[in-house]
Amino acid sequence: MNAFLFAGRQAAGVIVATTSVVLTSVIGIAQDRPSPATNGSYKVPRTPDGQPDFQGYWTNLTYTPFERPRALANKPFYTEQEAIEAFKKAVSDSTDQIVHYVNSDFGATPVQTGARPNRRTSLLIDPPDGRVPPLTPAAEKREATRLAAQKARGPLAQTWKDDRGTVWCVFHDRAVPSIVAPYGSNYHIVQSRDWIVMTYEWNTEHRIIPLDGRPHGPAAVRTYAGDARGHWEGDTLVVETTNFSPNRNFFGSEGTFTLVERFTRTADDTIVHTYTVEDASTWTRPWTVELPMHRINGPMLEYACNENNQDGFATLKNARAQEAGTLAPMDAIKRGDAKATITEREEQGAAKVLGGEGQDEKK
Amino acid sequence: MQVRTVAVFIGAIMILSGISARAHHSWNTVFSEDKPLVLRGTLSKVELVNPHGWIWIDVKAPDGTVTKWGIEGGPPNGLIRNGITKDTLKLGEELVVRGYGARDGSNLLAGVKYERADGKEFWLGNEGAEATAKARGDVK
Amino acid sequence: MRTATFASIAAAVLFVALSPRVGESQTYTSLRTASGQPDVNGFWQALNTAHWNLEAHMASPGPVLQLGAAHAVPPGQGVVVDGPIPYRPDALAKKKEYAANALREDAEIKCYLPGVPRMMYMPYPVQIVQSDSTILMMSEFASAHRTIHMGSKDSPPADTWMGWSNGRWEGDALVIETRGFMGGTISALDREGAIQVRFLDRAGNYHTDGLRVVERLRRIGPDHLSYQATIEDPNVYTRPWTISMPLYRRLDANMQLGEFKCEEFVSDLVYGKYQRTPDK
Repeated sequence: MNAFLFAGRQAAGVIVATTSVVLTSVIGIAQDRPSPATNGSYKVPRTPDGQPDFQGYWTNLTYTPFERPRALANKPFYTEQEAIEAFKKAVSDSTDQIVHYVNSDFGATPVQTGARPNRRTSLLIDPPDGRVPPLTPAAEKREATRLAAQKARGPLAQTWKDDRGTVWCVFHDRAVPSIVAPYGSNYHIVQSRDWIVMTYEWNTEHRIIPLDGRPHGPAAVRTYAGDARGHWEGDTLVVETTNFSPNRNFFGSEGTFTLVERFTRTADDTIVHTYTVEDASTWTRPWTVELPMHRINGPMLEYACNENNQDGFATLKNARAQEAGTLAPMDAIKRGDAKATITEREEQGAAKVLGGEGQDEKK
Repeated sequence: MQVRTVAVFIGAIMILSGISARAHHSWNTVFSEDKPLVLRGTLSKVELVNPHGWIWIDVKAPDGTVTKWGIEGGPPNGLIRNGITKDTLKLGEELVVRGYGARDGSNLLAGVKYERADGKEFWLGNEGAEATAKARGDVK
Repeated sequence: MRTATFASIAAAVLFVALSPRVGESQTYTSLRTASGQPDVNGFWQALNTAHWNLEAHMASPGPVLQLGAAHAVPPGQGVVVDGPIPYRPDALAKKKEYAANALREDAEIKCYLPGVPRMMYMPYPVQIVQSDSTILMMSEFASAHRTIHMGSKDSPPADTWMGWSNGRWEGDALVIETRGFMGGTISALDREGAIQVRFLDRAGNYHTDGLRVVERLRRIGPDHLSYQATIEDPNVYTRPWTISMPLYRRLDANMQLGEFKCEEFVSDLVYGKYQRTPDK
């Protein structure tokens, strides 16, 4: 009951602070106010500065695949019924999984974490076949070299850079450009007159986007999150981001891509987010993704990744132990009966039981 | 000084369906699918932190010795949004946790399923969450 | 673990609020946001040695000989209003031990989140982005991020490194109450990554998960804020105590926070023992 009230309070509308003293003041208007709503009949709420209000907590969690399965190449849309069926199947497929780190952690269902049905059969909507365009010959060669070097290093982590989780503690690249995460795929949006901040839940990556019309920063300064500049086109927020770090690899582009995003609020609980990426040195043409963002309850607690990174230590320690022959090799290949879920294994008697009734006598 | 790039290119293909068995760390470098375990014990500590929550349970062997087991879970953020907090769990309550043990044999478990002693799943039974779940059946 | 009550902090805050502070303008009328709140948007930075040592201190050598004068401790008059910091005797002994082992115990070295109030006086800009329901304070250091929930009285649903902050306006002052702090790293963590307590500065002044902080932030001029923080932690101190300092607006053209992901620069330090080849 308490929990329900908690959730309700978080969903409450904007809280307007009052002051005890009324003061006259001059407020400079930094840019023109946007024109009236252009997105159908929906009248988008406005911030006190008159801008479309995108504030709150939003998820882009979805079971729609990023690229369209080849079998559906000519079918960019499901019917409503098909969409609901596909969603239900994805939800049931994701319960009682083999391993953890998915939506059902601690018992939360995928729907509790915010996913919804989607009529599109893929998030990638252009090119029309819903797949990332081919790489240029130069990019293909680059990728082949990179993958060969990775293969030569072998499966064991040599430094922290070989542990994806630890690398994500530096920068979580799914924050921008937006790539859906299996859970926690959420943004918290806060706006002032001159800035809009979109904070991604993973690694608390904050995208801090100026709206004041300033130029991009110096080309010599390249960052993981890129250099973002926002402006309004009617009620649509357009964000152009450049100067990505060469340490990034986004679908084969080593930070040389440009990103143009459009955010439009189409309902109280929906923002449609589309983005186009372009890099003539990597892809034979630009490509476009559409992600619906749906409202969820707050709060969004910090993701302190680096601070308690026990898995980072374990990955490296175990790699060294495996090299020294003191630890059995990773079991990625020898799956055998590993398709069984944890419940099935217990029923088959494959799981060891410790503590309470039914515990194994010998250790 | 270049950081070797994360294979986002390949990683993105892995998350096509939105369901990934290895969402952040390479799961099988730390834990082993060859070590399915069921632990029954009493809750002794809760570290409900993001991104990984940890709970600690005392597991009693037949001869009475007590061993402390640390159980690594996912991020509590989603639960917190459904009104479940660090105070929801009661120290001393009995739990059954199913998961996979650590490769190096330490007393750590990657938790997969969590149950109270009466068989009810750990964190569920929240009316607000159920209402939200029903409301999200519509198509957008 | 004992935790502070806000009542005792409130008493300390009232004491400080009534005391005169250097440099304060009594007549400044703050610019307002479109919804009528005092406008604290912008980039703010402390210009003192509080990040070295909150208390008055002489110049001294730094912890790493090879860094010489570049990382020696400059002198400072201190920012504690009602000092000396009122340590419990057992805690003072711990402080000396932590200070002697700062390179291992100080979260700053490992690029861990600095917490509150430390984030506010580290030598990096802090950007405030203000809306009616939420005020964000973001530091250039380690992308540290504070969410101030305006008008909220909610309790922290979980402990965090930056704490849970509820804010409100009292006249022209932004008052923030923060608690729900992590006291250190989790139990399962390896020693190389572990820290036992949270430093408030590089001198080893520290807090535990019993910390509660009440801050007051107020514009005293077009480019200045006055900032006070009252700190209470019954595991460490015998009473609440207060720091006070101005924060200065960064006037640089096209000012923005830089990306300082220091996690990358310390990972070899933290994981080095288990790596095959160090980063080059």
